[in-house]
Amino acid sequence: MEQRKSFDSNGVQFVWDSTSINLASECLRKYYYRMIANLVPRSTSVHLLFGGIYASALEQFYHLRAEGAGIDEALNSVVHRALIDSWDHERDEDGQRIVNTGQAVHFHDPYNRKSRMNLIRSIIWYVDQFGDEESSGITTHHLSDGKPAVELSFVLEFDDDVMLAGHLDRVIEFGGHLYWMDQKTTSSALGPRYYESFKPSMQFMLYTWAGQMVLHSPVKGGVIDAAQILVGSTKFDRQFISFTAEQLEEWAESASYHIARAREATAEAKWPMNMSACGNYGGCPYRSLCARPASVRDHFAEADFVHPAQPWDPATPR
Amino acid sequence: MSDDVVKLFARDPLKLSEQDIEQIIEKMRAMRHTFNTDAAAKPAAKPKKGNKAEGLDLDLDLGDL
Repeated sequence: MEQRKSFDSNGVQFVWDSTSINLASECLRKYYYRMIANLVPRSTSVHLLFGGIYASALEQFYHLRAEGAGIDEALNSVVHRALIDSWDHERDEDGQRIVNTGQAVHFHDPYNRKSRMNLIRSIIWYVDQFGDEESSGITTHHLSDGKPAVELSFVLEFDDDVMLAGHLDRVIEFGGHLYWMDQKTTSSALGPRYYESFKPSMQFMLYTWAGQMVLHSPVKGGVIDAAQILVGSTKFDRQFISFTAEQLEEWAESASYHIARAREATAEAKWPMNMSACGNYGGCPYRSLCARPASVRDHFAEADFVHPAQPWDPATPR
Repeated sequence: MSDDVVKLFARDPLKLSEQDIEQIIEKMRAMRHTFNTDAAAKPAAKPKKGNKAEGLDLDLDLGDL
């Protein structure tokens, strides 16, 4: 594996994003498998696949809108893009898709909620619900150089020898304040319990901290546009979420602690399991590995997991 | 879902035309108004637009995106 930008020559990570901090705080063994060994399950999680294409399409929609495209023009473009992204083409030697090859990606959702058809439906319905922002008072923030604040990748100094990286899909202005915007899909009901799961949140507190640093403005928090994916329908809701300076200070202390602990673990090559986290989020994808005796684990790792060609590297912009 | 849309979903998306995409969007929009009748889901009045690509037999590829 070639040297990643986020790791030093000793393999110690020095550029961190919310994904890697979450992994490190949840279980150091899980952090090792995902971030150090670059192992991912052979079959992609339906939730990551569906949510990734959905969020990417809407991010692109707002980008096109900020560049002056009409709603219909932008929607047509992102629907076509999402149809392509959800088709498993064969690739040529340069990695380009080959026309008239492959087939539609199968999402493997046992509940038939997250399917290709429902993905496209959700993108179209979202745009019908939120795409016209004239009456909502929401506008895309523009940076000092006049560019729209969409698809903002950042790498910022955090602690000694540690940087934080991430990607803000979009920064908006509403009521005289700045907020980041993020798209979420879920099969849960969009009630108070759903939004409570984001307070606290490593990802969203990092976004708020980073927004303030990148924009040199007091970003209060964010807007979560949530889509509940059902078999025959998609429901939408929009909620604002904010964090105080005191909350962000506490977040920074926690993030710093977990990063330092994982860096020490890497230097010592010690990856203890946190067995109380094995059942989180429907079950850890590495549980089957940890369940095997260490002496045979490598054999099963090669059979059930793959090494992505592009390893997770927070310092590499999207 | 109409047979037309199911057939469009089964085609290589690199070969779909702008009209194909518009047809998918139109049919999916119609589904929403069937399922959900609240105010946010009511169909917005859309101005009828000219279809400049009509008759051009235009296929989109990645470079169009």
